[in-house]
Amino acid sequence: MTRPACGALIILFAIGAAPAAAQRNDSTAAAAAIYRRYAAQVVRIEVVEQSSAAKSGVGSGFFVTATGHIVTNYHVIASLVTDPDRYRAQITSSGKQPSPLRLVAIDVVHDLAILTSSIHPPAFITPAPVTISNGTRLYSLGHPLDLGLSVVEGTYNGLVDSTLYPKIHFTGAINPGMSGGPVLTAAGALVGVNVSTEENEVGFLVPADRARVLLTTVLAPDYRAPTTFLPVVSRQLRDFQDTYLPQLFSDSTPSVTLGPYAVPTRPGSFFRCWADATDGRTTKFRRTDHRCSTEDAVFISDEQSSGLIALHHELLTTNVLGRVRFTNLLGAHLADRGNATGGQEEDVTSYRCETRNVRSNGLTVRANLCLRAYRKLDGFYDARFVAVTLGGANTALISSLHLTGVTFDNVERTTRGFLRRIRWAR
Amino acid sequence: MGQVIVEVLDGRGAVRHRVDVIALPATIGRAYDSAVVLDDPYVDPVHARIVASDGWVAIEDAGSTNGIRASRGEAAARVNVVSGDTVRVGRTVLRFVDPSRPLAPTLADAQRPTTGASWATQPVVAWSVLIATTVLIVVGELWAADNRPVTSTVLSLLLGWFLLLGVWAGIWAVINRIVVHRFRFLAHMAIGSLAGAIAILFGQTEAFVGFLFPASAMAAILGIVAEVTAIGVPIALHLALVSTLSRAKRWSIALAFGAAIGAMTVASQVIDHRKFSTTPTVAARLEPLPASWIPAQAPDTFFTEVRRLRTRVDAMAAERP
Repeated sequence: MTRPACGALIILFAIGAAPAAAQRNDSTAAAAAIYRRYAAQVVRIEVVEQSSAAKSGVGSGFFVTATGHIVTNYHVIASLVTDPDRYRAQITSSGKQPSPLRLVAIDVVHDLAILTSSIHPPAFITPAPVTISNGTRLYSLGHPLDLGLSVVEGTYNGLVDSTLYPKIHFTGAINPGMSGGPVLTAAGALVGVNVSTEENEVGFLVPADRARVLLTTVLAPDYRAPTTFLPVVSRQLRDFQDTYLPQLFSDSTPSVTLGPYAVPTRPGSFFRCWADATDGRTTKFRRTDHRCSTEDAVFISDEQSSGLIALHHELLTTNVLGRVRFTNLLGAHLADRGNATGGQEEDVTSYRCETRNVRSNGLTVRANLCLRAYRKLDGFYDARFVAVTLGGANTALISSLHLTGVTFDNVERTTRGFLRRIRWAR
Repeated sequence: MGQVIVEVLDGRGAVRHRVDVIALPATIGRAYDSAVVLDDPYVDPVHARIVASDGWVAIEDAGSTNGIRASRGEAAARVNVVSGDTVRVGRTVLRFVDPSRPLAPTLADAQRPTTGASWATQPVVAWSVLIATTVLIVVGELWAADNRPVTSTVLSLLLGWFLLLGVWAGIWAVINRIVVHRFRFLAHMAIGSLAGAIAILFGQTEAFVGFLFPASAMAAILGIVAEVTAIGVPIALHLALVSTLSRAKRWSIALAFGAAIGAMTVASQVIDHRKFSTTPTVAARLEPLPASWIPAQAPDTFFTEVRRLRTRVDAMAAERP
């Protein structure tokens, strides 16, 4: 299971029959101590499909109160949010009856959730502020696949630069199924929660502080757990994207010059940009690509994520092709922007598109916007905007902007800003 | 030449056969020695006689079971007739004609023996249409080419086109041979290539309209009209060569056929449109026009449309999949 947005980024949530991953068992004495001390506090969470009673996924969690509150990742229990009638969650441990879990709070942006159980643990992990330096030894606990509780030793590498939301870079082989497990110092202070991994021991943690904030909310005397969580997801996503999306394509957004055009680039610090060009020796045209994309998006469900933003400028020039053939070449490259995006019919509608020839900043542009609505999250959309400059005999620009899981206001605002920032280079 | 020609009529009044009665009186009946032998079970072996009378001739009942009747009269024992009168004998209607009576003047035939697609049967015209369409196909392909090699594309396109056209024209030519004993392969080739020309010209028009006016439904309507025309017109012309159907009939058949195909296309487009898809389609057909020729709107107009788009997808999201 991967986050569609993030290439090799793998969420640590084992689906049914995930392949067994190699395990590292070179525990040091400290790791052994951690294991002994916390084995009873780290639980294995199973998400069960009600009608078939089959488990649809496995993750980890840990007790944070004496009354049985458990912290895990939102993505572990996401199906309880999107399909509450079909799925339930329970704690399973060998030789014991499964203990049912109830969802009480979520933080979809930071990928956290709090559940309650009827178990009163003898000890629990308290999320408290902790200050540590890069290179500190950390111990990640969790239930990788069905292999039982494991301790994985790794190092703290601080917060990752340029992300949409804070996450800690942890070097260590955390594996599917460990999602939601705690990451502790040798002294037992909670540093973060396992959330995802890239290959080669690059792991990511949700900072413990986010868990502390969520737990504080839940423990407030007037807190009432919502009966349905989808509106909570909507509200949290909306609040979160309103903090950064409206500013994306403002006048302060940097520009890059592509041929005669100036186009917006790296609209935020959490974007990564890269460029590529063909030399035109083997083709009858030259092509320059400039792309920017957010590195991560907010997980909503297996099929949906929010906040993925990708922009792609493509400059085509030719000294060889005539106007007619250059226009056809441009059309062929334009058609490539209409590639399929994935998604299930139960989650999203089909795309509907609108095309107009538009005069913007003295450029004649064919503007095309495709939009689809989320069925379960009211007011959220995926959108793809494609603009191609018209009338050029041997130079043209194709610019596209892809947005996932954003509100309509943000679709319009962002697309308008993007189009406004495409202009003639002076 | 006898004195009376007896014409035996069929149910619709057409002459089934003629009997030249040489001498009077003459008998009419089922008996084989009758002068006029009738194959009618309601007719007696000797049913009636043709006798000379003051006027010309008269028909006398010979005591038959079912009698005789004048054309618009009651049963009678004797009917005086003049040339052209009919008499009902049993269930058979007979017309009595005086061979010496003058005939009506011969009509001049104003209708030329045209088929409705006579142009196609003239080799010069047929070849011209074939060549013109071939040129159109080549130009159309060059127009649609991008940076790929053109020669091989054009050649393979032409090969496919002539293969298809040959099979199509061949089928019609065989039908032609069976029905009216003429092959007319070249004529059918010309008519078939006319379909290609119509499709190409309409297709280009549709592309330009769609490019210049993306908001209007004109391009879609043109597409359907093109299809109905490109199918209907050639079928009407092929039918003109292979059949003797009237012009109105040929065009109704052709139009019905074209409309049926057009309706199927529309239906399949509607079904496709409703089918769930995760592809955001870009209208990617561009035409090589300078910017100043292209009607364009302010971005605000575009975003007004985008807001309408939102209403549409919201309505879709509200329906259960």
